[in-house]
Formats: sequence, structure tokens, C-alpha cells
Amino acid sequence: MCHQTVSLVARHLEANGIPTVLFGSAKDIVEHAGVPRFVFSDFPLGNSMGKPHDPESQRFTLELGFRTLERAFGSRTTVQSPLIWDDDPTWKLDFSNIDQLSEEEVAARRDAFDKVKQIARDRRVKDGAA
Amino acid sequence: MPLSGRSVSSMVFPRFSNPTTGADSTVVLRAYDCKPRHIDGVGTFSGGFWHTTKPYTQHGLKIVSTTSPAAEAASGDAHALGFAPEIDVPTRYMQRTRDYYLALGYGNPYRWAQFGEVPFTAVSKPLSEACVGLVTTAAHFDPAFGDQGPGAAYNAGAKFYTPYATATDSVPDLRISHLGYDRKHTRADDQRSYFPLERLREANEAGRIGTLASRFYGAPTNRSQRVTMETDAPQILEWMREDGVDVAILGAN
Repeated sequence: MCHQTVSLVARHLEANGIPTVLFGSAKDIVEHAGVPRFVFSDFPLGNSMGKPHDPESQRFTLELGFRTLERAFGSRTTVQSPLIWDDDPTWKLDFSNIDQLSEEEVAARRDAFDKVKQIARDRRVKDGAA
Repeated sequence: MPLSGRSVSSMVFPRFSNPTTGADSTVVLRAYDCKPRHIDGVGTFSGGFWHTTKPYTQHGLKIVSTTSPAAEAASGDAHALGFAPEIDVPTRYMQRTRDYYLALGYGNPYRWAQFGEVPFTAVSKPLSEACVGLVTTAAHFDPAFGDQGPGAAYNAGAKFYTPYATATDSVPDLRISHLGYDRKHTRADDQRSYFPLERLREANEAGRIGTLASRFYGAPTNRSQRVTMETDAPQILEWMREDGVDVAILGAN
């Protein structure tokens, strides 16, 4: 949901006169929604602003966003960061990949997901939100 | 993180392109270096998966796909032409999660937001004179809400459902345990990899941006697109106007 959330917020801000740049790693979700400016880092989800404990990577990523703000001349501008996460791209196979899980693991995750949904429902009621 | 070194018991070969059916067949693996290797008796095929009792490192392989011997010639050509490995493309998260939740037994796949029109507002002043606002989906750490540390399992109890605005004059402790980030490959132990407040301060000190807005803004990751579009985004816009924000930076997770 996270990439969708910031995509929707970026669209709203932009439509109301505030230029935006979105940093993210789920290219399909962001481009499906459609945003004005997007800096795409092909990293595992959770590192949209650069690598952990790597200030240079973080500065580079932010600067890429600044330049995208300055130079994009139309919406749906995607700039892909040249930084790579690992020489070995096999990390891409792991996230929520049903082909990587045994039947037992699928069953365990189903149980866990049911519990998590109940917790989220309780929390939503507590926050007084819809 | 390379695959090598994964524990023996958890080894599962993914089901790629149509491996030969039946038990104890020859598994054709293509190594990351694109040199074909045929391995006899590496494991058994059951339940749609290749299982092996041997770690990848035993074969010196980084497996990117299984394929047929006939396909190896084509892959050799691709390698000679300098093509990237086939799997080295942006992950298709919508398809991944759709398949994942269908397999978990949840039908009625989620309809992701999709628009034909995309707004665009030109930047009207140099960044060195602009006030920059920052939007995050991270949440303030609260010990009352369970494990939010690096490596914590998905923690729905740490979610928030109303937007927040927090002063930027100190560095907050923001966590992402309530989000579906990559639990395996993301460390989540350096918030600057998803929340660039300190990097923005540097940019401010260097004169790259005019000012940093007095507050940053927390956006709830609500499954309901209507709530995000009609309640949360307008609230964040209102705060940004109060704070005189000229351009906005949004970090996803």
C-alpha cells in the first residue's frame, strides 16, 4: 500500500500547485497510479532514499530527486537511479514470491495474515478512523 | 545478499520455466555466469517445487532460472551480447502480491489505483530559494505497540490511520515495521535509507535548497484509496500550505 499511498498524495499535492518528486522501489505500483516525477531505485522495498549506512548513496539519491524536480518538463517522468543493490540480482526473487514457498510455509503465512488483519482492525477502531 | 550460505533445510528451488515433471529428474540450472550446468540428482520434484538437501554453494551456483537444454543456446547468445540476467528487471509487485494472496486463499484481488491523467505543476523558483516539505509513511516509534525494531515481523499494531505533522527541528525515531517492506534483504536499521531528514538538512546547509519546512508529514498507508485521496492527502496539503511549502519530497517504503 505504501507506494500507492505516496503516489496518491503526490498527485493531490501536484494538482493543487505543489510540485513533487516521489522516491520509491515499486516501479509498477507508482507508474500504474501515475505520478508527476519519480526517482526509481531498484532496491528491496524499504530503501527508497538510498542504502543503509551509506551516506554517499543517500546523498546521491536525494540529488537525483532535486535534478528531477529541476528538469522534468512533463508528468510521468521516471528517472532510474544507476545505483545497484547487489551484483547478484537474485534478491528480486524473494519478496512475496509464492513460487519460493512450500505448502507448509503458505499455510503458516495464511494463519499469520489472519491474525495481523484482526490487529489492524482493532488499531483502526482505536484511532477512530474509518 | 547472495543466496550462498542459506541453510540446507530451507533450500527450495523455485518453479521456473516448465521443469520436466516426475521425481528425480535431471534439473537443468543456469548459473549466474550463464554457463550451463547439468546436475543429476540434485533433488526431487514435488508439490510444484524442486527440493534439494544440498546448499547452492555446494555447486558453486547462483541460480537465476531453470530451463531446458535447448534454451541454453539462446541464453548463450544473450550473454555474448551483454544482456543482463533475465531476472534483473524491476519486480512486478502487483502481480507478485496478487499471486501471493490468491495462494493464501484470498480471492477478490486488490484493484490498485490507476489513472490516465497525471497532474503536473512546473517548479516556479530555484530550489536554492524553495521551501521543501517531506512526506513519509514511517511511524513514530512507540514502545506500547510491540516490536518495531529492525527485522521485526509485520506489525499491524504499529500502524496509524490519521496523518501527522511533526517538527523538523529534531530528528525523530521513525520505524517501518507496520509496512510491507522486504524483511529479508532490507536492514531497516538506518532510518536515513527511507527518511532523508538529515540529508535534507545537509542540502539546506549547503544552500542546495532554500529552507526545510518546519514540519514533516506522516501519511497513513490506508488500504482505502478513498480515505487517502479525500481525507489524508487534503490534510497534508493544508499543513504544507500553512508551512509555506514550495516543493514536496515523498519517500515510499
